[in-house]
Amino acid sequence: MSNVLTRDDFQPAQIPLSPRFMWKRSINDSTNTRQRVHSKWVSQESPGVSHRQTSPVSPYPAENAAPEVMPHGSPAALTGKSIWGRLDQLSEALNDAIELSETLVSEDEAPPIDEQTFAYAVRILTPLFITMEIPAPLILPLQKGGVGAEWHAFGMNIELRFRNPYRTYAVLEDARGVIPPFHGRDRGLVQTHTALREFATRVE
Amino acid sequence: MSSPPESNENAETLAGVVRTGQKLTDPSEGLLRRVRRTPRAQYNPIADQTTGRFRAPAAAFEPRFPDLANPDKIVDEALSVNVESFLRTAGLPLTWGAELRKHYVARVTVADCTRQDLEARHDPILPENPHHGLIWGLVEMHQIDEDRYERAIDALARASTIVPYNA
Repeated sequence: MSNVLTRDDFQPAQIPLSPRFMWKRSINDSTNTRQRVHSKWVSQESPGVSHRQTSPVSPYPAENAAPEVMPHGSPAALTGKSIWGRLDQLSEALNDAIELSETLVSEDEAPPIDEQTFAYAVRILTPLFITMEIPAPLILPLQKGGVGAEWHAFGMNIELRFRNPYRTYAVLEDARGVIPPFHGRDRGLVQTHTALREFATRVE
Repeated sequence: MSSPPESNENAETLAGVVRTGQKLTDPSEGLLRRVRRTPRAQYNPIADQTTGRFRAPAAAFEPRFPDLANPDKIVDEALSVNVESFLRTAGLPLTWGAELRKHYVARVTVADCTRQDLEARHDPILPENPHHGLIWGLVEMHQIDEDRYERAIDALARASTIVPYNA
């Protein structure tokens, strides 16, 4: 980064959070999220209980926890505590995007996020957080109801633009040259998975 | 400072879109775009890992498209900016028009636009903003080739620099 300018040069005083944002944060605190996600796993493993049952305020659509996206047989095989933490971070990032979207809508700067596109983005992002130790991305509302997810760290720019379900534009850049640059539609997110796996190795 | 406008007349593209205002031809002319802050300070602005510079996200360079569900909503024909030379001539800061609690300001140049086949014009909104300009071409590009549009907003984002508050 520049030796002259830092982020502080672009920051005003502390930005107060809106009351609604605070409320959203409170319903997504670690304990609640942990309980919701845990109950989902328990329901999948318990006979007679529909695995589709989720809390109505859950940010994770039920299909996101589909076992086929898990490379491990059981959540116990994963490092449980860090998973909760990562899912909490993802939940907060999603809340940030919703909060920003509501602001943009109220000021006529963008349409609301399309629910199907949002659900699709969550369905794509959630397994990534379960299987890889990566920090939460910046999640942004896009025009025409889309959602963007971006990571800018460890020498990599990884940007995903979910324009609608099944149309994702990816920008992948690596200052270290390990991952070749990619700008385009990433069907099946093949390129993105490669980049995120490399990204995960740099997180530590 | 900006060189004299190429034409004072509005221009009509092959697509039949009338581009209003005076075309800006000085490649170094600055175009200033307000960028909405995200709730988290660590992304305001973005630290680009390949250039080592702070910049705006590509989302900041998206115009508002028609919303079929809400046909009464405001739609952009082009991307709104302020023109740097007009702000300087008026003795105004480059962050003029931005609410610093809600926005930061990203700067691209006319050359950054022309490299993407976009056209910048001074298009004052009188009386409230005589410094207003428009970047034309993104809306048409989106209609014709969405991948080209994605590359164009990427290029603008990567070319952008962030205006310090005291500028």
